[in-house]
Amino acid sequence: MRLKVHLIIFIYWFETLLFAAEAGMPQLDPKYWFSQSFWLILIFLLLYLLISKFFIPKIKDNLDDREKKIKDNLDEAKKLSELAERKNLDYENEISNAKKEVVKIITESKKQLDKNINQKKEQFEKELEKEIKNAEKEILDVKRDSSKSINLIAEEISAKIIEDITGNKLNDSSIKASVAEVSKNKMGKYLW
Amino acid sequence: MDDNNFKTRLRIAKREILKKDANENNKRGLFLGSAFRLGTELVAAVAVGTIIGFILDNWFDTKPWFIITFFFIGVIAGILNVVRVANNMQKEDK
Amino acid sequence: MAANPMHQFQVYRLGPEIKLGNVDLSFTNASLFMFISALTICIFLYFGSKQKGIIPGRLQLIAELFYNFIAKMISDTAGSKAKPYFPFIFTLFMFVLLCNMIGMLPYSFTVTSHIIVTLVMALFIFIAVTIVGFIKHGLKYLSIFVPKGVPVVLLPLITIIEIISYLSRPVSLSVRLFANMMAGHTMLKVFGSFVISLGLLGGWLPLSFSVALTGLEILVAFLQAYVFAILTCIYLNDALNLHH
Repeated sequence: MRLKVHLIIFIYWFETLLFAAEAGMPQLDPKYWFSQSFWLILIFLLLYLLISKFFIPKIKDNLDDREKKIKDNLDEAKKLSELAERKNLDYENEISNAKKEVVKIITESKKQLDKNINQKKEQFEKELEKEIKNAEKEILDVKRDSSKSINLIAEEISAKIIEDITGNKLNDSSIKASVAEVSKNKMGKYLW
Repeated sequence: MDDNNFKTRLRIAKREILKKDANENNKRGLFLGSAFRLGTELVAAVAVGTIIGFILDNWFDTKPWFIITFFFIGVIAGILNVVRVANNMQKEDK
Repeated sequence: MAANPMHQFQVYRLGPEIKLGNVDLSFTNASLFMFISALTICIFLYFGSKQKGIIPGRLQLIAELFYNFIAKMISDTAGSKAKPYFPFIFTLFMFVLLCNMIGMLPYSFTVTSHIIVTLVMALFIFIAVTIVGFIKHGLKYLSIFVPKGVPVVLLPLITIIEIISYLSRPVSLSVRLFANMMAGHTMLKVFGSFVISLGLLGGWLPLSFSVALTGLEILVAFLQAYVFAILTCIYLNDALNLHH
C-alpha cells in the first residue's frame, strides 16, 4: 500500500545518503544517527533540567539581590544626604540666631555701660557742685570774717594812730562809724 | 562643590536603575538574525516544496506533475520568505 | 593527501556497543563532545553563580552577561509572554554556543556540524512551537496559514505557499547551522593541510589565511548560536502573539 511506497522512498533516500557518506560526507552516514539523537536528547534534557532548576534561579537571585542592594544603598544615600542637608540648615539657623543674640548682647551691654557712665557722671557732677558750693560758702565766710577782722584791725589801727598823733582818745564808736563808712565805700575796691 | 557632585552622581545612579526597570521594546536584536536568514530561507522552502511534490506524486501516481508544481510553489514560498526577512530588516533600519 | 578534510566529521564508537533492539545507541565521539559541552556549561555556570558579592567576579560577570543578553533578546523579539521559555532558550543558546566553540579546538569534534544533531534540535523546536501555538490559540492558530486581504481565488495557492514556508522553518534552521559549521571547519582543515604540504617556503600565506579564518570562525560560532536562539524566539513570537 501507500505506506510501503513511503518506506521504499525512505530506503531509497537512505541509500542515496549512504552513498553520499561514502563519497565523503560522514554527516550523511546514518549509522550513528539514532545514537547521536539519543545522546543529544539525553544530554540536552539533563542540561536543561540543571539550568532551569538550579543555575538560572541562582543567577536571578544574585542579580535581584544586587539590584535591590544598590537600590537600597541609593535610597539610604539619598536619605542621608537629605538629613545632612537638614542638619546643615539647622546649623546655619543656629549660627544666625547666635549672631543675632551676640549683637543683642553687645548693644545691651553698651547701653548699660552708657547708663552707668551717665549715672556716675551725674553723681560726680552733683558731688562736684556740692563741693563747689561748700567751697564758695567757705570762701564767703572767710571773706565775711576777713572783712570783719579788717574792719576791727582798721578800727584799732585808726584808734592807735589817732591816739598817737593827737594824744587823745577818740571814742570807739566814731572810729567804728568812719571805718565802716570807708570799708563800705572802698571794700569793694580791694576785695572784689 | 563636593555636595553637588555627590548629588549629581546619586541622580545618575538612580536614573540608571529606573532605565533598567523600564522595558523599552527596541527590536534591534532582530537585525543580525535576519541577515543570516536570507540564504537558507530560499533553499529550504524550495527543498520542502520539492519533497512534498515528490511524496504527492508517489501517493497519487502522477509522476512528474506534482513535483514540478510544488517545486515552483516552493520557489515562490522561498522568495516570500526572503521578502519577509528583508522587510523585517528594513523595519530595523527605520 | 593524507588528511582528508572530511575526516574530522567522522563519528566512531567509544566503548562498548549499546544496542536497543535493532537500534545502535553506542556512545560515540559525538556523544562525548556533547557531554563535554554540557559539562563545561555546568562548571561555568556553577562558578558563575557561586558568590553573592555586590561586585561580581569575572566568571560571574560573564554568566550574568549571558543571562541578561538572552533575557533581553527574548523580551525584544517575543515579548513578556515568552518568559516561561527563558530557561529553554538559554540552555539552547549555551549548548549550541559551547558545541560550536569547543569544535574550534584542534583535534576536537564539532557536534553541530552534523545535520542530524541540528535537525533534531530544529524539529524539536518546530514541533514544540506548533504545540504551543495550538495550546494558546486552539484551531485559530491555523489562521497563520491564511493571510488577510488576499483574493479568494488566490487563497488556496497562498495557503499552500504559507504551509510550505512554515514547514521550511526547521529545514532552514537546521541546515543553516550545520552548513555554516561544516563549511567553516572544512575550510580550516583545507588551509591547515596546505600549510603542512607547502612547508616553510610557501606555507605562510595559507597560515595567515588560517589565522584569519579562525577568527572569523569564532565569530561565526557565536553568531550561529545567536541566530539559532533568536530564530527560536521569532518562531515562538509567531506562536504566542497571533498577528498578521
